[in-house]
Amino acid sequence: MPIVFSHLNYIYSSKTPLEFSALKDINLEIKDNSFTMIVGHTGSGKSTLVQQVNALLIPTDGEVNVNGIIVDKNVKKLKNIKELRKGVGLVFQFPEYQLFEDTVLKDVSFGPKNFGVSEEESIKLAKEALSLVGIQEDLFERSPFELSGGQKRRVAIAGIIALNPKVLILDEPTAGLDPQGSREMMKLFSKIHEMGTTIVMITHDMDNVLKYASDVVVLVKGEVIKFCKPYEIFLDEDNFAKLSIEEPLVIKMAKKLNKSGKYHIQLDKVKDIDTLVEQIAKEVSYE
Amino acid sequence: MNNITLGKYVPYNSFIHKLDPRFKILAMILLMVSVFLSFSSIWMNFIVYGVLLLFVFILMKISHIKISALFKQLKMMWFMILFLLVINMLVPGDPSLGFIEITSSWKIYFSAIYNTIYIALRLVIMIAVSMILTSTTTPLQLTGALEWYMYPLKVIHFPVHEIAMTISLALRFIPTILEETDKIMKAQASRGVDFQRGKLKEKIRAVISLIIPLFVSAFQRSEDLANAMEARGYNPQAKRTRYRINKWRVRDTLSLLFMSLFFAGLIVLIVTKFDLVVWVGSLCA
Repeated sequence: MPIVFSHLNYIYSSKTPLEFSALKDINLEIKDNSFTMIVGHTGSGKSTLVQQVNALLIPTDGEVNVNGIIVDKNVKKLKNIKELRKGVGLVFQFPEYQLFEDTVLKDVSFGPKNFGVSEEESIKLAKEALSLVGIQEDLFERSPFELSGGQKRRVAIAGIIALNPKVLILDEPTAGLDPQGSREMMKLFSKIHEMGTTIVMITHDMDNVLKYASDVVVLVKGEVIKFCKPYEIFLDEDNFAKLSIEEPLVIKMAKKLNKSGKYHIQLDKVKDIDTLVEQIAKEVSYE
Repeated sequence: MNNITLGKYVPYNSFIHKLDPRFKILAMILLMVSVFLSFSSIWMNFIVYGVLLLFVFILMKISHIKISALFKQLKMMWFMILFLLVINMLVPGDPSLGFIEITSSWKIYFSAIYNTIYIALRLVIMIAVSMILTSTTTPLQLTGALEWYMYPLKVIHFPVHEIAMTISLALRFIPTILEETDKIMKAQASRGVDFQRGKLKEKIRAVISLIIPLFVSAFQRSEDLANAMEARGYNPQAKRTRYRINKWRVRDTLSLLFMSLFFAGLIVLIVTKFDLVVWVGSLCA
């Protein structure tokens, strides 16, 4: 499902002394089947932006168009909102806190049941989602509160995946995980993306941006500063501090190699170590 | 969730803000008590309520509280006032004040209407007074003052400090827990929970999906907090000093004097059965 923001503004505590303009004139088009990552400083409006997409926050001005369903300040029709939320799954930061049922399986099937899926069907969906995120069957009947931190995170994410959303929005899904768990999590999202889901992810990890993203949105103080291909945000070195960007090592290396004059590596082809090595090998074989 | 404004401390630098919290608590109690006093006649009651209302509104103006904020709080009270009116109507009242006869067995007594108006006025004044206290006094100042008032109880080994600590922690975590509630509600809403409508059974499930995570996180938080306090060597029995010490100033003494005179005046009015209407009448005669 394509998501189109047009002239979207969002103001917190409007018309009070605490008024705070979180988003200013956002115009974006997130394409169907893309893997878009949103980066920016804490407080730049990343979370506020994604919450507009499934109408948890209603735009103060302007609109979001999610595959024909329009969210603007006049949105009142609840039926539409439910349809929207079924199509757009949103995983919040540290989603572990949303677990509440007495077994893992029940918790994951809670979402589908809310959207009117039958009992057996939702159990089936829950089992599929759990096996996708890598939760073993022997944990299905355990209480979610007995699981480890990483397992809880997986179960919570499965709770959203079980809805079979067309768009999956993830707010810093790897925050607080160890490197191993973080890598596995990213592999999982890449797999879900390949299955035909549009993914929007908020992240601070530039290595992941480079490796997985198809597009990047850079937010600064509620405004979209850049909307481009991942490697392009690493070209403008002066702005790294301002945009809260840490250059990935592979890009740094590729740039140094190019500077030495011996290599002409195409930066847009460099995604991770493997692709960098590939590019270097190509150059070496020319010599 | 951010609409809950009752009792939120608003940092201004008004006269009321600068008063000693111990005096403010005492003044609040005196005002609340005066709300429940009963005078020689109905008109006298209304006159005193009028004076109290005026006084409270002046205090609100001084402490920069918007009148509209008070009315926001009263919105929830409308139903209660209506309910009281209906109950009062059905209960036989004092026939000496007059009544309207609707049927031979059912009369509406004027005393019922008066009683309802009294209760409504009392609610307005009480809510306004507590709003003034909590929006001009930080929770920390309040607990400090409460601790001071409970100090004599130490003689009978009452855990004054521990109780004050518990109260201040509870107050400290109200905004945190509200924030948490908002977060959980949003997370469950994106799993299809509808908190506004639905059948009773669905509503109960919706509330369960909110309450359980809330409890889990509250217990988690309290454990973390207890560990953090212990790690820094917190000992409830230890004698501790304060960073901010309440200092009784001249303005507190003057305010106390004024409040005492005001309250004493009301008592005198009751004891002497003074009635302004009768008194003015006798002057004119």
